[in-house]
Amino acid sequence: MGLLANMVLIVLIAIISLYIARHLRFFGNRMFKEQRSCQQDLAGAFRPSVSVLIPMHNEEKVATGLLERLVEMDYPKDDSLYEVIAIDDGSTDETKSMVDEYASKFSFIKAIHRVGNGGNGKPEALNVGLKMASNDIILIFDADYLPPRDCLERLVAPFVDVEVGGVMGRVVPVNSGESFVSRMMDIERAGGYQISQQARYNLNLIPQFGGTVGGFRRSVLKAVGGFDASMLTEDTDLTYKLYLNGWKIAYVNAAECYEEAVWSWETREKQLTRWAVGHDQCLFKYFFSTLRSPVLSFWQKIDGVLLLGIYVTPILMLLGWLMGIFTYLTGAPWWSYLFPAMFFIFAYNTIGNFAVFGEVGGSLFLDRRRRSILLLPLMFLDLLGNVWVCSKAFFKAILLSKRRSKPVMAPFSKGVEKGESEEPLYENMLSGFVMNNCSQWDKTERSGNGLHYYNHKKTQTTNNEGRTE
Amino acid sequence: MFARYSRNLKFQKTHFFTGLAIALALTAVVTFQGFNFWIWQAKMVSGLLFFAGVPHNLIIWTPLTRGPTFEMLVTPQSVPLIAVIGSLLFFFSFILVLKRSSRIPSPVKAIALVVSLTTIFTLSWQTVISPVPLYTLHWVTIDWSCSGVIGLCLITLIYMPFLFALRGPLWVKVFWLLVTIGFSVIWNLLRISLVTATLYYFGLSVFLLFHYFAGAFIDFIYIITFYSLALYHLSKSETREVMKIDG
Repeated sequence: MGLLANMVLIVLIAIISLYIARHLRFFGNRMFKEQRSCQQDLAGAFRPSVSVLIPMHNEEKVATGLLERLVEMDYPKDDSLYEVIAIDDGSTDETKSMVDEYASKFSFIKAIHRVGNGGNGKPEALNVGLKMASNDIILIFDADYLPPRDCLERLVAPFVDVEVGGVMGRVVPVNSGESFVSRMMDIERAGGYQISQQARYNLNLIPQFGGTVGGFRRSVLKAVGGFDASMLTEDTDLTYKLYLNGWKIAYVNAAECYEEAVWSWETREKQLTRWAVGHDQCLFKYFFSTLRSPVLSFWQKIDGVLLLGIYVTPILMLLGWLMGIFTYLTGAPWWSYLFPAMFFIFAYNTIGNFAVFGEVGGSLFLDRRRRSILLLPLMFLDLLGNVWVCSKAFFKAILLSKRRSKPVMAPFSKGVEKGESEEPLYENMLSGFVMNNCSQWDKTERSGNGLHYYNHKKTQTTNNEGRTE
Repeated sequence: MFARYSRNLKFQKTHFFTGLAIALALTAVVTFQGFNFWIWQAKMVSGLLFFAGVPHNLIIWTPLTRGPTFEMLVTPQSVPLIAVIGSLLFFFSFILVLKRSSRIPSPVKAIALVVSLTTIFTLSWQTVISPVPLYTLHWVTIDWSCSGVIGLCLITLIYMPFLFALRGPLWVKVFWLLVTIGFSVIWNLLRISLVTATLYYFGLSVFLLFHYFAGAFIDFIYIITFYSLALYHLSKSETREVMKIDG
């Protein structure tokens, strides 16, 4: 038992050390080296034909914000060059009428309405939009995003490079002052995009497509089979599909797009669970194929594998803490009294992956957001929350990966009578336990106040007596 | 104005190597004077313990510990089985509540989980295995004395790339490095004193729990806190410098 604990501790320290080295490398590259501009000098000059897909499900609070921005976009409003396809997937609110209104006013805006109880999920909606799209470049925006006028031009510029199959822009929360959680999301995003994504692009590693504010060549998307509806994070899945087929993704730090970050712990937990489960699904699916890939370089393979395991690191931290409990009750292992070992154990126990905090601090330093730097110690709370959520998510992902890869109807949904499901009983139990299937919308709630933040207006609320405050 | 998407900084070689020199000097002091530092630390702790009314013996060196430690007469208490069973039942129902409640923030859930698990482990060990764990006051003192010293080197190593290499006045970086190191020394003195006093006043179970939670977690928090203050100050000074250059 003692030997097992020792081995586990050594492996944990080795893995965390790898991540520390990775983040340190990213920090050094982003902070001090020349940055790759990904053809931004061609932004505005290179204008391929673009189809913008907007998957929507009950987006009445936010739909007009994005559609308005897309109308104002600095891109020629020529149907052969620019089209917006809004896919209303089984919405039960006013989304349908809002989308129809825009489609009737502007010829380059097209609406697809899908009927179905609860919709069929974002990946399916995007696949439908992809079938309808006729232009060379497909860009995707979630309905609650607010792109500035030059966003499209900046996003499409990298496609002048024939090796580029996809692009990703920078996501910037617009409502960071709304709550403690939104502040944490804001600084996390800063670190993730300004430092990590940009450094990965600079170093020719694997920058990731994040599901929105990004896009692909239509031909490449079709070649890799579109969006996989069986994966909770079809964006990570697509990233690896592209890289394993020899394509690259360009990260465009200049293409900022504004989003409403989650503002409550409950919403954050749901969002993070979805990301963690989906990411872990990709880990199980792509771990060995990444290592064996003949098209990836050595460092791309290392980075690819470390990226796949990113939502497993909080579990490793928890395991390390549990090992710590065991060790202090049974006595420290003999080798821990060697100075280097003591150093690493102390470093691991103390700072875990400090490099992540250094990354976030560095990004805020580059952005000149001094006051946000003071929030760094509070990220410790976020880290603890991640430990809880990611630990649960890992086990859910294991259960989910044992299911068939094709989308499975949720039990007791419309059209499937209780006790007459086509799936065995254990599948039904799994569905209830593991967040149902992937072909339903698992949305993060939005307050719809993003537009007000974007326009620097305060939200007006009407109290019960009908007075506006 | 700068464009944040393409902005990068000039690597401050002089400052970085100054930080490296401080790190090497500190490592040399720790290596050759570490034992004297531990003795000084142990004497300071002994003074604090006398102030707190904790009877103890300060032993400068033993063949087993190879460093200063403390001796204290403590009668091992055994934890009644009913307490362990009660804790287990409480733990499982607590986890059920945590899992089902979406209103409790996830960090609270994580802290509750770690505290509960640690408490259960500790109580169960004392009841089922032995009332006296292998990790005694001797080892805690040695452990924290060593980690206190290692912490000083670690702080300097962290500050080198993440602070010293950045643009900004050198005096800000050195000032905050010294402040963090100073706090680390003082905190280590207080921590060893507190854990020893905890053993005397509250017994073995609380001592073990205090030892666990006052260790790694607190180190992490204060290092990040001082780092963020240093970075904030540096960013302010750096902006002032840039404004002066730009006129």
